[in-house]
Amino acid sequence: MSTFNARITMPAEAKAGEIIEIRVLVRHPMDRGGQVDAEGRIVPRKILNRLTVTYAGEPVFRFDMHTGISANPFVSFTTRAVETGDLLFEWREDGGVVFTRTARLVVT
Amino acid sequence: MTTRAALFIGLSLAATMVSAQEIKPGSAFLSPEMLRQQSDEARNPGFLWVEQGGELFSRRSGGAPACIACHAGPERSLKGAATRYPQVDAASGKLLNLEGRIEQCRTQRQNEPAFGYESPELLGLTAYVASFSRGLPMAVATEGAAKPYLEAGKAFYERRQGQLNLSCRQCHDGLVGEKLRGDTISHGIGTGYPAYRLEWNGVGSLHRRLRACSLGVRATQFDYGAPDYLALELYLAARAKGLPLESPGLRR
Amino acid sequence: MSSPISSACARPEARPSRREVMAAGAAGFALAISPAAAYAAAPPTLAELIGRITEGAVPARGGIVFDIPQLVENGNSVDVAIQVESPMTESDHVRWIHVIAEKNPYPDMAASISVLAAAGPTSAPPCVSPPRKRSWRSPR
Repeated sequence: MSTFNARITMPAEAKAGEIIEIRVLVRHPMDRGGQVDAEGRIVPRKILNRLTVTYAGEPVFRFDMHTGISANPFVSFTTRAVETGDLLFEWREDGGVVFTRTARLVVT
Repeated sequence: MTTRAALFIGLSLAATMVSAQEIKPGSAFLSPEMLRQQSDEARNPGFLWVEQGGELFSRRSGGAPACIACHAGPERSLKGAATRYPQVDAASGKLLNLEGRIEQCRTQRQNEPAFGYESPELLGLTAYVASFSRGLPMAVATEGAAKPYLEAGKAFYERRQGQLNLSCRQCHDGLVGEKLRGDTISHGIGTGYPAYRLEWNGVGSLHRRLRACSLGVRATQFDYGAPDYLALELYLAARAKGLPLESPGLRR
Repeated sequence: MSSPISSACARPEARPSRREVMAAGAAGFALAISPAAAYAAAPPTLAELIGRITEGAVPARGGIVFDIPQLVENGNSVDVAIQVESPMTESDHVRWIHVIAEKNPYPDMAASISVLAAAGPTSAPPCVSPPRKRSWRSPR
């Protein structure tokens, strides 16, 4: 499936020092491979194997995914609001394709 | 005599209970956890399809204007639209569901090739349009031109089918709340569709769900968009009249 | 109703465990497969995997709240919440959370989650599915 979309849910602004929750839902079949296709070939694994999140340039969260992660995976985590900046979300798919999204957090 | 009278009263009471049985929405049969996830737009994966539909809605394809060129401000202009489907198309006299109407728009007004039933694009657009009616009461027309279709749908619902020789009604009226293969039998009104089913790992149409039921009783599986399923869809929507539309629902 | 499976998909174990049977029941008629043939290297054993993570240290129990439903709606997707007691300061914080399922063909099934001191007190509930099953079914 070529359709990749991501829903990132987090507050647009927060007070300095506040703990915010970030919820990430992405569309991906997370195909663990191994099935035999109609031609008798073995389907290779194709999953999102890593999500990294940086906040104002600093890495804050990394999620290494293996074959046990469900299709259309959801993950939620918290982080501390320190300064106004972009959160950069980067997913790495088997085969090297990278998907990115950004979300801005305004700290008051 | 007394026993017979008591028995008779008991039986007639049971009969009234069945006929006066209140039709419940699909969400009434979900676990609290899934119900919470269904209403949470950040967690319900169906909204990924809604989002895809939103992108398609405002994107031009080929030389044709985008959907949004006619349906500006869809959150207002299409509010409640999905609650009125399936409906009879005035020009052709045919029964169309929401998928059918979107395909008609695409082929006749945008002059673009049809997406095809159950394609990710059509599912996305259908879920997107339906999402503007989330929580609104189902309000299909059942009189006039719709009446023969409704009758056909009702007949389908009540007809025993397949190797198991079961009608829809036997389970979805007679055994509601009982367990079947790890799931709870609902009234089968389909107001959550297109829905995200865990079993599918994705969003699917009501007709995909109906095909699964047909397979379950080992009856003929009709094609997507087949007249039989369309008529049934109308009957189900009529049964659901007044209940809230839940698409994109979350189902097991 | 289940479709025939190629012998290449057969699981090495002779009998499914109770857990697999339960998962199969929930998913209709899911069957487990081992995609070992797809990969050159065999998956690490549980002991190897834990050894790699702990690097010889002796694990201590406690400090973790692991929230997973006892009975799942469908094995395709199960929400799991993990909470670790930690002050999350520069000098004392959680570096990694690993989720391992020993009955899975690939025990390092789920996730390794790295959180940084900057993150503050953290809970990370990833949506993971325990022993992932692939369902083989007729077109529905």
